[in-house]
Amino acid sequence: MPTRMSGNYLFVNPGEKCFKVASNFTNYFEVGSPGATDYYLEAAIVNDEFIVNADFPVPGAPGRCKLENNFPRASGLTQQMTPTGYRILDGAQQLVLGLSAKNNICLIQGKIYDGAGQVVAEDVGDDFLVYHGPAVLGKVDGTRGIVLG
Amino acid sequence: MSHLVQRLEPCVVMIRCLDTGMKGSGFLVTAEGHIATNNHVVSTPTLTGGALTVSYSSKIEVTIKGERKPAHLMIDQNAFEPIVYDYALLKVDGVTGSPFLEVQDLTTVKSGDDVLCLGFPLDFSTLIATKGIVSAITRRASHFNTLHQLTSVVSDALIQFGNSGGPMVHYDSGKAIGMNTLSHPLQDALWYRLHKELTNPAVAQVPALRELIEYSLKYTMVGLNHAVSLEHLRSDRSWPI
Repeated sequence: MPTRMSGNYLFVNPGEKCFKVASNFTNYFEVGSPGATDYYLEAAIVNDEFIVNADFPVPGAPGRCKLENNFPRASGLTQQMTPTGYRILDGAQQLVLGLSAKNNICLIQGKIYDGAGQVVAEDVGDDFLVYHGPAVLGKVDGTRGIVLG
Repeated sequence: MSHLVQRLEPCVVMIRCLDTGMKGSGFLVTAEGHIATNNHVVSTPTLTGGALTVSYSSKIEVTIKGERKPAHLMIDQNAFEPIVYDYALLKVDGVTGSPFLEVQDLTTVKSGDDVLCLGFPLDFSTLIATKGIVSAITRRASHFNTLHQLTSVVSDALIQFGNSGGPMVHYDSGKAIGMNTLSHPLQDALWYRLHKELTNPAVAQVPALRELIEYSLKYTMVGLNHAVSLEHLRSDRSWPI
């Protein structure tokens, strides 16, 4: 059974710069951990700027889904820039990862896979489903919000 | 300031894209003919299915000291960074020993410092210099991708269409601190308001009024402008120095 997150406000107030993950609003979002897992995504607000880094495999794709300081580096996948962010699509033109910033809110959408090709986390409507940790939603200095795994 | 304008004049170039009709400005950043300009001067954006792509001009011509020369792009045309931060780097072959503009570290620039903006706005083919102060150094969302922030030098030095890509120069050092990129939304709002008036049937019936509006569209310069930081361009692997 996945852990289901929805409707959480973690370390943010209305109007403040934040990430929106399904129906959750937060200042920080992390799935996996560099070095500890073969997949990770980290979204943080640094110097008042959205900064997202990610590196995880995509089943059936020749390359990994990678983001470096928001910029897609996903060779073998379709990378599209939009006026508000980026979309990375798989071979079937399905969304793997999407970022979109508007009015101080950065929307993160997609599916994150592990090395075995299993979905680790995904947004489904208003719910953010985490199938296994580690995952963190919200962080201020050493204090973390919702922590899984 | 005349001595500074005279010294900088050979460093500033007019850019024309012969295939798209775009016109803008740029400036030499090396003695070997490397030219910095805005990405939007040499590219045409297209929005298809929500995806923003640009196609680059394949016939770029620059005018250096009155002499027209072909130029080619030095940036990675598949990269997102030049679009997001609105920069491009050109190269004119066969140039050696040219005067060029050095780039000043923005951390040494303060609000209130005097600046010059240089370029070839509107239909001018002679260098136009305007003067102002640094009003602020800010971070703002990229006009091509709101996910990213870019550093911007805000100034009251006047710019118009065609100034894009030209240098904003620090008066004390004579070095470039930014690339004139866009004007304040208020200026755009005025421009579009005036433009809309041209379709007003009442205006069409009064030739003198129409001429006045057309003149204003062409020569009115108001509002603040943004010059994007050259640090974005300097972080590009194509930057030659």
